[in-house]
Amino acid sequence: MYDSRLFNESGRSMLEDKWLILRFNRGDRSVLHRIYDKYKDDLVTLAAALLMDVRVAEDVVHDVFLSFLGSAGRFRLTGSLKGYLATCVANRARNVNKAGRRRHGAALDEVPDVACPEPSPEQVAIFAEQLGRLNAGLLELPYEQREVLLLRSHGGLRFAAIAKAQGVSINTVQGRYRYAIEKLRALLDSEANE
Amino acid sequence: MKPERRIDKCISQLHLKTGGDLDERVHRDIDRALVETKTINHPMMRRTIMTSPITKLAVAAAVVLAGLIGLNVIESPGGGVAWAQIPGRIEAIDTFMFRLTIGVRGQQDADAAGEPGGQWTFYLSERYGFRMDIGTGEVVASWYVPPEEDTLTMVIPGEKKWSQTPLPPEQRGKMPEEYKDPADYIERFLARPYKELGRSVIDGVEVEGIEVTDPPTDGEKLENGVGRLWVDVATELPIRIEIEGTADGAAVRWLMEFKWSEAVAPALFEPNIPDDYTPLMP
Repeated sequence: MYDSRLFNESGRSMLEDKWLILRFNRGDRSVLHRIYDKYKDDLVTLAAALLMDVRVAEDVVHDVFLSFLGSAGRFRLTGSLKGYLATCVANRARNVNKAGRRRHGAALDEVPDVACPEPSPEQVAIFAEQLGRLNAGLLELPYEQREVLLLRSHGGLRFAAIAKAQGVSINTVQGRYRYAIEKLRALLDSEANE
Repeated sequence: MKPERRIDKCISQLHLKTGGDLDERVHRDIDRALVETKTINHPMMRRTIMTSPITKLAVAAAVVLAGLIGLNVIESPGGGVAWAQIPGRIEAIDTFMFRLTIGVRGQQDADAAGEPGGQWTFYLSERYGFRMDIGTGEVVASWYVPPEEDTLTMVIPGEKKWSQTPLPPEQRGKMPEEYKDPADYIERFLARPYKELGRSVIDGVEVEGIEVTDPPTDGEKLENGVGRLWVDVATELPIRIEIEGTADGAAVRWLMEFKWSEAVAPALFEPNIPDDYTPLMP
């Protein structure tokens, strides 16, 4: 039988993405309104969980859309729209993380708590609370491992796509994933036993 | 529950809503870019190329043929005499429906970026405008462009949402020329060496078909491709094109179906948004 995934919600979302990609590839930048509204929360969540800083995360997403805006009609998008955007966010976040490391001698992911230079807005507090359960574990993970976990869960990317984004082999990505899962599992188990 | 799934579930529960400030910034930047585009307004139209009424219809066929399947400009000597007249007949038609169904099965590389398929239906008319539906059976979303207005109306039945936005400046009043039409595609399809399949019956209609190898796909990956064109014997207009082959280890099938002229009701071009639908974007 031919694929039946078209009938479920993700299939319908994929169809809409096909249309959005089509329009974008033809130089129609107005579809970015819809693309942004559709994926903004996922992308900000991804960036915030990578960088542990909601404000910087929002800037990262803004930058990604600015670049996206400028590239309309200049290249062809194929595959998953969400995956593409998530990869862009991850790449940008990685650069921000490296820049922070260079400037401060420590990566953003080494800051012990949700970093926010100004008084936290409500959304930061909510996110920090949500993150609380995983915060310690995520913060202890090397950045690359955290990125693998988050790109799978919030970017919908498969190992092959993550490997391409990180410039490493699939085996390396799978190893990072297994290590991260094991570490988080141990942390969650220890919390449960307390 | 396996540890991986438990952790994945915990992580996927993280959810942050964007702040109004970011929304404002991004939407403002998009709007600004659109205004700049409008100012520049690239004179990229090819009005001289298309002079027939079909020109103004081709809005959507382009979306399908140029965008989803993609059409490749392949120069080739013409096909047989009877078949070669088909593009000319199409160009004389004002209103038509075009449906593209892409099916994929037996995908072996589960980790590959998926193109699981889908269905797109286009309605084109110089008199009534343009409509496109996506979704198989149940329509997921429809887009409408009236013939004399520069607006694009989108309706999403599953979410009871709708939106209306201006057409991109480069497409206003000349959207059709952006696209190639079925006549163009069929002309190039017919330009390939073909063998006659004789007569058959499709949906109660007596048809005559031809088969080509390596049908035009404009870069879409397709190995061992075979294309079949079926034409209504009575009207000598296409009613179906089937393209089959393999890509990335999966069998793929593209089915293009056509309806012409009075077979396409004018009411199909009107959005008719129900009262309980709400705007998609503020």
